[in-house]
Amino acid sequence: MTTAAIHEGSMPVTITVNGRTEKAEVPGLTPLGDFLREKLGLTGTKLGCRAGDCGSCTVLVDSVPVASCLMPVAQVGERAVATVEGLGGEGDLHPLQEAFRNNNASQCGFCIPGILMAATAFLDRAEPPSRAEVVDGLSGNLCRCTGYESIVSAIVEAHTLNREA
Amino acid sequence: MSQPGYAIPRSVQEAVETLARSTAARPIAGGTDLMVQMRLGHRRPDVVVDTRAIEELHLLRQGDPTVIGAAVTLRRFLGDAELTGSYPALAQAANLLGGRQIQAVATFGGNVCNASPAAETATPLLVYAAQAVIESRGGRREVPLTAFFTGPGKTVVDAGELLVGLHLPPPTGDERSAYRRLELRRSVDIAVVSASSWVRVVEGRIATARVAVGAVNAVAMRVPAAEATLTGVEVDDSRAVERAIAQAAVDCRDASRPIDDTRASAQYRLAMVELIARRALNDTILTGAH
Amino acid sequence: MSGPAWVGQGIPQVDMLDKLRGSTKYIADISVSGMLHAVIVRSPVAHGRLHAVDVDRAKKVPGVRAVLTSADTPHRFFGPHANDWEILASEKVRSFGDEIAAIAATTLDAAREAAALVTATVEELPAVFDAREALRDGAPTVWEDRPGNVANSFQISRGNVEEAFAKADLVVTDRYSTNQIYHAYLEPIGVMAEYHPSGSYTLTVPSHIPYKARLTYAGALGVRPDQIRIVVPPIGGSFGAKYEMIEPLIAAVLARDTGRPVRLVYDREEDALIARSRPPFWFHHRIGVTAEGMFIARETEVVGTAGSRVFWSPAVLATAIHRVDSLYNFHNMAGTGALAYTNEAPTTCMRGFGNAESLFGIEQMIDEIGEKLGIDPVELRQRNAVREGETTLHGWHISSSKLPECLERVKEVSDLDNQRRETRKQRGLTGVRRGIGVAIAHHVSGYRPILADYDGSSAIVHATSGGRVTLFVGEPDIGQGQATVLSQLACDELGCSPDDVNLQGVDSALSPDAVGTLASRATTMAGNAVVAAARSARQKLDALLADHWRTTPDRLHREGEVVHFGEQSLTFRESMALYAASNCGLPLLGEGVHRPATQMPDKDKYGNPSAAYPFAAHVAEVEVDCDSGQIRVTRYWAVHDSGTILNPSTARGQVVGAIAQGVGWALMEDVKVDLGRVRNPNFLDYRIPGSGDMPETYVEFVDAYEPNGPHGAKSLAEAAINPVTAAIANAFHDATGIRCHDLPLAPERIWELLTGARAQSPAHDAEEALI
Ligand SMILES: Cc1cc2nc3c(=O)[nH]c(=O)nc-3n(C[C@H](O)[C@H](O)[C@H](O)COP(=O)(O)OP(=O)(O)OC[C@H]3O[C@@H](n4cnc5c(N)ncnc54)[C@H](O)[C@@H]3O)c2cc1C
Ligand code: FES
Ligand code: FES
Repeated sequence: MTTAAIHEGSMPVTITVNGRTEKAEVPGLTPLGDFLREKLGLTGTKLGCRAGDCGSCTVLVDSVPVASCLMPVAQVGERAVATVEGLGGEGDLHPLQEAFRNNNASQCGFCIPGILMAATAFLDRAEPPSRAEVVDGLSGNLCRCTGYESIVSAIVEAHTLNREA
Repeated sequence: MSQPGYAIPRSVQEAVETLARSTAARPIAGGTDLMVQMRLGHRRPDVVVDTRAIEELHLLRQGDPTVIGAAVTLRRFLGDAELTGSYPALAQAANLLGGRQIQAVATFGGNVCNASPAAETATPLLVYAAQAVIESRGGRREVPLTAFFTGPGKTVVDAGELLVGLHLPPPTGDERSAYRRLELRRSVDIAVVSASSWVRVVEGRIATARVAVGAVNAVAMRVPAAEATLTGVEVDDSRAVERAIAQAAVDCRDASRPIDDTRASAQYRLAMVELIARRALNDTILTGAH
Repeated sequence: MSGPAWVGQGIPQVDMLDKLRGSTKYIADISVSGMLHAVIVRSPVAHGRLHAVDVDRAKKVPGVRAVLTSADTPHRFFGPHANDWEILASEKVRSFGDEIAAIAATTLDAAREAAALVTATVEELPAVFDAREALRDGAPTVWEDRPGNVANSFQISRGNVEEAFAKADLVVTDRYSTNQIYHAYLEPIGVMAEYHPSGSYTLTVPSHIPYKARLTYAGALGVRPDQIRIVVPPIGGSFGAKYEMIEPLIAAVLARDTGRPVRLVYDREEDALIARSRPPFWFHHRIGVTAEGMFIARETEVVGTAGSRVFWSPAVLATAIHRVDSLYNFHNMAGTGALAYTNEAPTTCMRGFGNAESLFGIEQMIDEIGEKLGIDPVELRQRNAVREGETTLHGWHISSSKLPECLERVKEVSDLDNQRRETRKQRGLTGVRRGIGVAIAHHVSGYRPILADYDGSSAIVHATSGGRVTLFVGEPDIGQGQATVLSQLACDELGCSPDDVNLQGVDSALSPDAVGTLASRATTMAGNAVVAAARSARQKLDALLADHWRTTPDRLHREGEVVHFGEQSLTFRESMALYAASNCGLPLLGEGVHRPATQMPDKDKYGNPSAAYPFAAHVAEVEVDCDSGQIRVTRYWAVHDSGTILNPSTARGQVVGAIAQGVGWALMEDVKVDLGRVRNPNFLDYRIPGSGDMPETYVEFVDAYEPNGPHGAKSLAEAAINPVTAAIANAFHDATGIRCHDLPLAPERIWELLTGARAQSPAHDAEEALI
């Protein structure tokens, strides 16, 4: 009977982040969030709890928001990772960034990268989300500063901006 | 403090062979429990066996039996209208587990194998009479979920074994079920108590009833006394139904031996399990959620 | 000149783009070459005599560069309010959080591995975990030189309270308690320290009172304050917690020992385990009133927890005892309070700073007085509130107050009277009940006694030939949007646009010395200083332009970013190029000093500590599930007098954010401590409100002008949290008829209160319906 290879210590990892393929040797259980921050220097992804509770580490894996503090980097596999650094272009802003700016939807800003990434999930749909839907969909992201109102407004607005774009 | 080894088997066979190499090996699915437990030193596996690449664990289909693979994510289940329609209590529970980011990766196998007394999917799976399909080098065995949980964080899945999936009897069309829980805030939270119920109505009477409660004992469990109370009740006799529901809720409380913890006192849990069981039963029988 | 172009506009925050791109560098995002990672080893017991700390095995872990104990530090006692801090504990440990050793290693894993190998020989001592017990005879002594465990006390009185109580037609007496609240900023505490061979340090710390902190740190390290350069990075939330901390000192001694930069960043669990939370308080309040509903006497006794060391709790205690006298006229008052040493983590200040704590009880008692006298609660507040122009009992001068208008408006927009008529019709303590409640509050805009040397603020404006403007102030932005309003103020003076302006992060090597961002002072104080600095810069620029056009400065006029003289005009950028060229490259510099009209309180605490006082009137609506005890704030109305609103968008954000923190405090937040150990050091069991917990919120700012504020502005962000717990508790009472004396008003407590109420009046049972 065959057993799978057991990678003791570090293992080779190839992952695609914001369209760029990166290779590294790290323990397979390294949380994706740490990998992004420490190996790739992408510190836009924040770690507020390392326990799945705050959402500040949210990134997209094949366009789906996940908590990067809980995902072992070895599990990412072929899937594409997107972080806040890849959200807008050099000069231009992503509709979410534009809407967050218009609504002053940030204070200390620590929760914001994760909230932006979680919010991308609202943009693909045809119908604009209601405030209640956004409130519900955002319940895995904590913000201690804003009280969420401006964030919810920004996400609703971003849907419109995105359609127009 | 060396890092555990990491393995990515491609088949159930490979997985159980890998698990058999060490008694401290452990499967990992979404990691939403295990990653935190390892970081805090609550679990210290020496090898972690990733179940994501094992095709069989991703099986999800309604049928006889309905199969929910161990590595099926809550998100995938919630996106399947047929299954959520057939197993509404499970859908309600899955929908309350974590936020979107957690649901995207958290699995049914992880939820039951983590065996929290408050595990969201445990009470619905119990009332749907789920069977756990477990594989080891020695072969495959099926264990009813009623015998699956052995204590907080403990199940019958032994070292070297892998949960392959959960088998549920197919829906028959004359059954109704619902899930309720009590939480301390409206956003993402863990249940203080939870309850599921399921009844089959034949010729106007409750022919079979299943009731399960969570977070009030060392394990999530069925409440036979409540089930007996409900069996035979005529569903159009509203006074009889009310009386039976109230009694069944009391039966649930009587079957509970909760503990005090930071979330709630035992006393509050006792009062609440009665309330929540009553609400679940109301949803099931009176509101006719399904 | 037309009205201001920028002040009053809801422009986006100036540092928004960095935050939205993820390029803002918080401490954990900064690494420098050669940097070591630090880990702290903490006491294994709540109270004990520390006989030895064995670090030999830890030192052998590969990658470890230093393992320090108290003996390796410049050992002395120091601290912001009492000399009871040590960099590392020496003879005794007094709480689980007490730091007994510190490790620096090339990797975090190595530092952690070493930390696990440090062993301490500790003789455990009896411990005390409740402030009230700590103050009783025979309680274990936390500090040998402080028998009785009194960490701090405060007394104050005015008039003749006993005489006044004797004259009162109604005296209400009650007890209230407020609980331990974790600031729960999303960015865990982090610091970085570098040591320079010259004997000086650079500390990168998220303090919002960096100059005050520097004094404390200099005392601890035995160096002059100017030997410490403090750099304040962007702060991921603080709310009072990150004022002055032990962590920068631990990093500093490790940096000195190793000669390498040292970074210390907590995980959430460690941050929450040692959380220096809002001090829990136990109040006894007594209020005397005439039959006409005029307050004539108030007495307050408070006991609070300082924990094992004194951080900022004394200032919170003082506030809790006497600030309310500038909201209501009680005419005669007496207040006493004590903070107890216990074997728990030290407590410190948090947004609301004692005022919110005291109002939780007092605002409920005022409702009760209204009920007893048959006076509408809004009317009763109107009768007794201090008025604009008054000097209050303790000498505080209320230079502006639109509180009466706030109260009327909040009543109107919430339809308070009609709503209450409806809620009063509800019967039976079952099912879902609704309630609505009002509360008011005030706060300060700066507080004179914080730094004995000076109040006020100063600023420097620096503009380059390219038209880039940099503002230097000593008040750090803590996410509240201060950089933005300061830019707006500067732009209106200078005739430039906020796109041209940067706010230099506070760096003691560059920024003016300052009291800091606390006591709701930054907008008022730094705002005035920035206006003065920008004005002085503009005067220089105008002198040059007048020369250039051969005219006088008074004949120039500005429209937006353009200066005109007759037919001729120059943009701001063009005029800056001209300025630099005419001055051999010198940037345009403006300096501004703001000395507020405050008066240092005397030894009897009489004086006017703040230049301006903001006011607020709030209404909360709640729904209570009487069967489960679950509660929800469904709607909320907040009407504020903060003078001129410099930026309505960020101002609204401050109010809504404060309400969120108030809702969390009122309904779910609670640091659960068992025998000195925090049981819920994570966001799963320390619940802060998520998006689903927030009510629909109405915010309004009444038309107002504060003569002492920049463009008429005064503070906002603390006044907005102060009434929240009381408004919610009053709404809960409206829904259920039950007074909530203790926080939080969480489901289990509500269930207990309702169970108790039903037992007292069995009539409720008869009405119990099937749910
Ligand atoms: C913010 C947050 C909120 C949460 N809320 C809830 C909630 O409301 N209710 C609730 O019940 N849970 C909750 N959880 C816990 C967790 O998300 C769930 O239990 C989840 O279903 C676990 O699945 P997983 O795939 O992530 O499991 P993992 O963490 O990968 O594994 C969990 C355990 O199961 C074992 N395991 C996994 N797969 C197998 C297998 N095939 N065979 C044998 N053993 C296996 C692992 O070894 C491990 O011990 C929450 C977690 C977070 C972070
Ligand atoms: S850091 Fe991942 S959820 Fe908080
Ligand atoms: S803006 Fe500070 S946590 Fe959200």
